[in-house]
Amino acid sequence: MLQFPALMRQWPSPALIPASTLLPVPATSQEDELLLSMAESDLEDKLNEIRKTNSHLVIIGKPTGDTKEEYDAEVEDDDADNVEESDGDDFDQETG
Amino acid sequence: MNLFAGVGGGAADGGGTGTALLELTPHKMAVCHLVQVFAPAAQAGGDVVPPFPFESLTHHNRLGLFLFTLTRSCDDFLEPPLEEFLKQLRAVDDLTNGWFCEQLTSALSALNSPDDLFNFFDKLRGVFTAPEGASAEDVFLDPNSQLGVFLRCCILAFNSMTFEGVCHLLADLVMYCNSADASYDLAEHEDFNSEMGNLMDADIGSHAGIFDKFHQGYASEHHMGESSSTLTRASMSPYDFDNANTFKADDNPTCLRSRWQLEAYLNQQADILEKDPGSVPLNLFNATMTQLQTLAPELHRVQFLQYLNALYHDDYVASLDNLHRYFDYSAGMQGLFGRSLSQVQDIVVGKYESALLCLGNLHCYFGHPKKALEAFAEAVRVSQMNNDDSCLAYVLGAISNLLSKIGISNTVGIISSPYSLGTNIGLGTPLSIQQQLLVLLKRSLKRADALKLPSLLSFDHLSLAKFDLKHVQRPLVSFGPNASTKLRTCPADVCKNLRLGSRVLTDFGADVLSTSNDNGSFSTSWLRNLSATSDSWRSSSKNTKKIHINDFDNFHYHAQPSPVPASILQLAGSAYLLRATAWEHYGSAPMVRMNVLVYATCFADAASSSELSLAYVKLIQQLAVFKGYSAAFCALKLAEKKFPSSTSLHIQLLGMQILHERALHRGHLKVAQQICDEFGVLSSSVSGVDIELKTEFSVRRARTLLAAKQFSQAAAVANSLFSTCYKYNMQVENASVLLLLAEIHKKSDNAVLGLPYALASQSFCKSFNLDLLEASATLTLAELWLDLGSSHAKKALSLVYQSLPMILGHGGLELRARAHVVLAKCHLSDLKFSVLEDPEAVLDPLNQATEDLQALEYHEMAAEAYYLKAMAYNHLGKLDEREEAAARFKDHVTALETPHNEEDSLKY
Repeated sequence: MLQFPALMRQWPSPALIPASTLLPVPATSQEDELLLSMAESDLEDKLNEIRKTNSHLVIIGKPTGDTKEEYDAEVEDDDADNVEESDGDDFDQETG
Repeated sequence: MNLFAGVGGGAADGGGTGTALLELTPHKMAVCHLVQVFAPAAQAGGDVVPPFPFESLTHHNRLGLFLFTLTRSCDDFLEPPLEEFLKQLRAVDDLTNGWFCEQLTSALSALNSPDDLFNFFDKLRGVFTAPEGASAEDVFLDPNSQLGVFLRCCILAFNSMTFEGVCHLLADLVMYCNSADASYDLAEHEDFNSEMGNLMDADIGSHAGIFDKFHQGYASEHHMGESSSTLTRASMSPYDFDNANTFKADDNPTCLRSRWQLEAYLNQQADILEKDPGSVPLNLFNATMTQLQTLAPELHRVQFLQYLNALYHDDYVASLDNLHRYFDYSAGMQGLFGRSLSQVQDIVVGKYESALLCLGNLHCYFGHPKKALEAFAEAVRVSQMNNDDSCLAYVLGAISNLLSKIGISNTVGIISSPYSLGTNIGLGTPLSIQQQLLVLLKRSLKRADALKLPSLLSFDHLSLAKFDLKHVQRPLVSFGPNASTKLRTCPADVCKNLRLGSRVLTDFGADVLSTSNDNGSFSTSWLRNLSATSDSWRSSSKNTKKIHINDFDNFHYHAQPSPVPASILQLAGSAYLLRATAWEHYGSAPMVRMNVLVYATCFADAASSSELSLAYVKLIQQLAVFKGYSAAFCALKLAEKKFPSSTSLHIQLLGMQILHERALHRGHLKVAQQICDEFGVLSSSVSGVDIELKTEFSVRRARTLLAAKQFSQAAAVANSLFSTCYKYNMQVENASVLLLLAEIHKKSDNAVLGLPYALASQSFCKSFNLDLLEASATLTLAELWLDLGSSHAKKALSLVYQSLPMILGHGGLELRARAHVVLAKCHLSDLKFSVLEDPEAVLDPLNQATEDLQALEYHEMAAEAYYLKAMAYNHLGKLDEREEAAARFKDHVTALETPHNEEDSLKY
């Protein structure tokens, strides 16, 4: 208190320029969402390419439907030839 | 959130390959789980609003607000452990008895394989899908909302992850959950402190077991160490600066953190540095910044933080070097941070005038006024040349700050050409330094108002209030028919500027979250208060408390903190502190206490430790003046615990002041002289120039000499002090010094010499509206008239009656006691007054005086009061009371003449 005798008055000293004023951090903008959409579409395109490549790829060592069908067709052809050329007795003997 | 400005690479670099641009962490997975609870996958016609388990829309919205805050918070640079996250969640989840916490921990613990992770993220997609037949009331998440964008980022990050990354994520998740389990074990113990050692050992053993379990797999020792050290640090350090592990590139193969998170983190560190420099270790902070700089060389504001760190630790060479380095690297590169030009910013980083402004502030901080003024003058010139009005406004404010700090008279030799500062008002005549200061302040205020700079506007209003409080304004044109003006200060102007200084708060409202200036600090502060609330609930189980949680957090119980930025809050709080100081001048003790309490209650969170300690000082001064020294010393001990003496000069000064007062009152003159010498050391030129400290030292020295009855030396010191105050235009201090001179002459029985000094002091008090000091001067005048003889007793009595309302209403114990004693002396000196007819007129004030002086331990005045009481009782014929009063008189005189146990006066 400023009376007699007095205790010394001390003054507040606020900062003139805090760092947050000097170096502002920009807020999130709407561009982030566009970038996110672009990244998502890029990933989707990448996955689509993978799927497209998979549909045309021949994997060695594993049977596929087409190969099996061809094999069956060959077997049928052989059977037909045998039936025409062989006698009835030979066929019966094999069965028995 | 800015997820695509990663330091390691931007969208342009990773766009083609679909690389993950957000690092997926267990904490983010926990947030994703809660988003799923908030907005579960909707089924056609099957759900109700709100969904299970929410009981009301308010409950539902509370979780939504919590999730929004989590995704907005810039504190997630250092993501919280699960324990911390559960604390925050428990503060929000107070209706379902911890159902959310149980669901979260069980859901995360159930993820044991990469397939589980895949199913987890695949299920998250359902949050976005609106099935056919869905009505408008069904709850599903908008993919473009804040939570939707966050969820999409996490899903994208997971889908882009390699198998090795998935395994790493799984290992991190196990560590994340187990650390929470260990923390639960710690929290359940009743006596936490005594079991600390054993529990830490058990904790290390537990983690060692975890490490053994995974040592053949994909978990690494480093992860275990990181978790363990996190627990250790959480209980030791309030500010987690030992985060070197976070910056190691090996732990983050995809990216470190986004640029936005880094910049927000760095700004947080800057706020901590500015708020409480003592809590930031110098070298540890530098090591962290150096490591960050190594990882991100183009992030130049790291150098600015190193400059701030050196500045606030009084390292002149390092601060100058870092400041030069920062502006050397970043000046001129205007598009460095990729900011949009449409954004309105106070100061654009990278301009030469900004560098000069910072350089001037550096020199101002270290006490180099000439160099500071040179830098500021150059900054004015460059700002005008580059049409940078914002920087020019700030430079004008900085020059005003410099002039008001170093004392007016010193600048005469510094400003060689006042016209270069733009203070020429066109008359061609040079203005005085005071007038230049006023012109600069008003110009800065005008520019800040026009450019909408709230920080500078508030600062200028406070500076103008301080100027009006200390100086009598004269018209700038001193000729003409209106030359005769009243030379007084105007308290209305002071109050107006103080009110405008804190009015910046109205510029920030409840819609701050929708503005473009939100940088995540608001969310961070809210989450911190949630943790504090949760801590207070479990105070019985945890005795230790985070020391950085403010004592006033109880006011934030279940309430949002203020959305006003911390820097604006600081300035608004400073307005209340300055208002308290103004009322100290004007002499209203209740107004001083009220403003300080408003400050300590409402602005303590945002306050710097220096100003918060100043608020404590003012309250303790009130205790010392109105309650006595015992109460003041109790409060001083508490304040010293809260503010370590190494960082608070205010507390240190206050302790010395009260000790000196008590030593003078006890008659312990050796101790008083010793404390006086310590004041001399503090106010010497070696530790910088502080004119107010020098003034305080001289006043205390004169009063010590006066108590020792060395009147000639005391008068010489006081006369020298008056010359100094007159030279530096310290008119308010002149009023006190003149009153001190009157007191010296009164004590040396030279009343005739004392009268002119008391009258001059009274005149100063009228000019500066110092009402309480004027009452003190009037009381001294009464004493001087009384010393001139009993024929002036009536005149003295009328003066005492004139000052009594002010003194009894707002005066301290000592001033009230003096008034009572002088009142009794006036009655006893009056020849026409008879004690027999009206004994209460003498005894009542004397009894009141002895009560007050007991609390102050003021032996000299107490002896005088008891002497007068004995005289009065002698007139009344009451011999027993007379003998008792005489005995007390003898006690006080003996204590004054033969002081013993003087060393006790140095303790409290």
